[in-house]
Amino acid sequence: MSAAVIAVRHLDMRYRVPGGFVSALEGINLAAAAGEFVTLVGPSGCGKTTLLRIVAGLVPQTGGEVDVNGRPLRGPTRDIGIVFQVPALMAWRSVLDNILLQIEIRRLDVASYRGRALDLIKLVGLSGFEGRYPYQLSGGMQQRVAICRALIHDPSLLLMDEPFGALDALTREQMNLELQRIWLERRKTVLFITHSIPEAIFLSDRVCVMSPRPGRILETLAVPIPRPRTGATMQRNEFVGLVGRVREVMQASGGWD
Amino acid sequence: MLCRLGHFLTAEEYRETRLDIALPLLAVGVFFVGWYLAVVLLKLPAYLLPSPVDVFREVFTRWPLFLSHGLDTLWAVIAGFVVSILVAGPLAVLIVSSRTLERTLMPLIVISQTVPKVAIAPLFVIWMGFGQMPKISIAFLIAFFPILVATIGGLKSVETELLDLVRSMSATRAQIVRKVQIPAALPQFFSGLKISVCLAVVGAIVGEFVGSDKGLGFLLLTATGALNAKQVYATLVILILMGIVLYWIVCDLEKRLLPWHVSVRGQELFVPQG
Repeated sequence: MSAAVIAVRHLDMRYRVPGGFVSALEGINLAAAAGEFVTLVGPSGCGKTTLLRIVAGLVPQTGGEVDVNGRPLRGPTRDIGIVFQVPALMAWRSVLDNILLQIEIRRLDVASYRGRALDLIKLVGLSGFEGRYPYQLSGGMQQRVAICRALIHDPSLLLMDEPFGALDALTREQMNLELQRIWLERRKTVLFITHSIPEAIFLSDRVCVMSPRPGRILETLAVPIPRPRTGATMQRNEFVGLVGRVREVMQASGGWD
Repeated sequence: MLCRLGHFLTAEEYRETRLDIALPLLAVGVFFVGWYLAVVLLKLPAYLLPSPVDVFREVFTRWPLFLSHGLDTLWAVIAGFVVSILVAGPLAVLIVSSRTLERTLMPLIVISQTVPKVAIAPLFVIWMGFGQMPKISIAFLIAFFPILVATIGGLKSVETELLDLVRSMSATRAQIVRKVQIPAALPQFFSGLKISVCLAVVGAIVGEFVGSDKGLGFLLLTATGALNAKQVYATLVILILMGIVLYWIVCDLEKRLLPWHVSVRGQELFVPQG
């Protein structure tokens, strides 16, 4: 059994407001083993993004412990890649230079990573676009560049915060298949956030269902459906059953949105 | 950081580039024709509004005079403009990097701007004597504020997600400023430059009105005093041309440095698939 890449224990996150505190997250216990695809699904405002930012080391938690790769988290770690809901590319850089930003900031040798960047560009299906600028790409293409940027330095952990949320439904389905393909080729540990239940089941090994604020993990479901999963998989009884179960849990906690 | 779009112009882009030159020239031409017609049709006396033909003749026959004074003013304008960039740029970065600095420095800067430059120009002459220095100082004083304000706006306008991303890469403050904030601020920086280059001309002229015996402002003053309308208008035309050329240079620089920005490339219909 491989050691947990992420281990979150009794995590609390509270914000001070006039008159007291408001709790964003309460008592979160979460673990992800190496190569596991874990999804957090929950209604808007339940704290999923906060949790992801805490695991990314961008904001410190107010209670509990977070270990990444066996070490307590004390700030941004080098070993993660992040994809947000918006691609957040630099408009003034080409696709290739956007991906290589990771390498530049980390002060590694840019030239030696070019080959890897071009491989990633090919992997996400954007060959030939490396010289293009973000304004010349569609939203889905920009997100694929963002995914390359998150993978170029070969992190062991990938954090994705509703990366396909801003895309239309068709592109979104396509991107789910793409992500699965990329992930199958380069097994990373992934912590994925979404508020789409089918997307969560489709992509993951385990799905953690969160309650509305203050966010708690209500239930964790395993998704034993074999991969590669396809559009047809979504019709199977197993799949539909799991979606139903997640809906039940969310509805019971009043989180139906 | 010179980026080029790196492709041959499409027929539409080619047409647009031609229009970029043709339409302004046409507009200016119409202006001069209108001026000429106004003088002829309204039979305006020469001391009120000379005909553009006479004005241009004045410029051409006395071109050494206009050249030497014009260069004098031009030098002050460029010097003031360059100094304002060199001061406003780093100052903007400094102000954005520290809330304390912002809260202490900005009020002082705003105060310096609310003082009418025309009123303190004589003071500058007293402090710095006749010649170039007061001109350059006033040009600088007027030109630096738009650059400062615009650049501060640009530096602050980086997407939160992008900042989060580079923070997650453990970027240092210097890296964030250099690789993220400054490039992100360039479009607004250039907006500031465009305003400032015109104001620098105004500033140099104000300086010349008050304390110089050289330059187009000085020419304007003496010509007005001598009721020499032709020379007044001739000087104005030269000044206008100077402003236009400088502004155009800034715009051209912007087109070369920022081809990716929407204000430069225009709204296109893109056709990527996927």
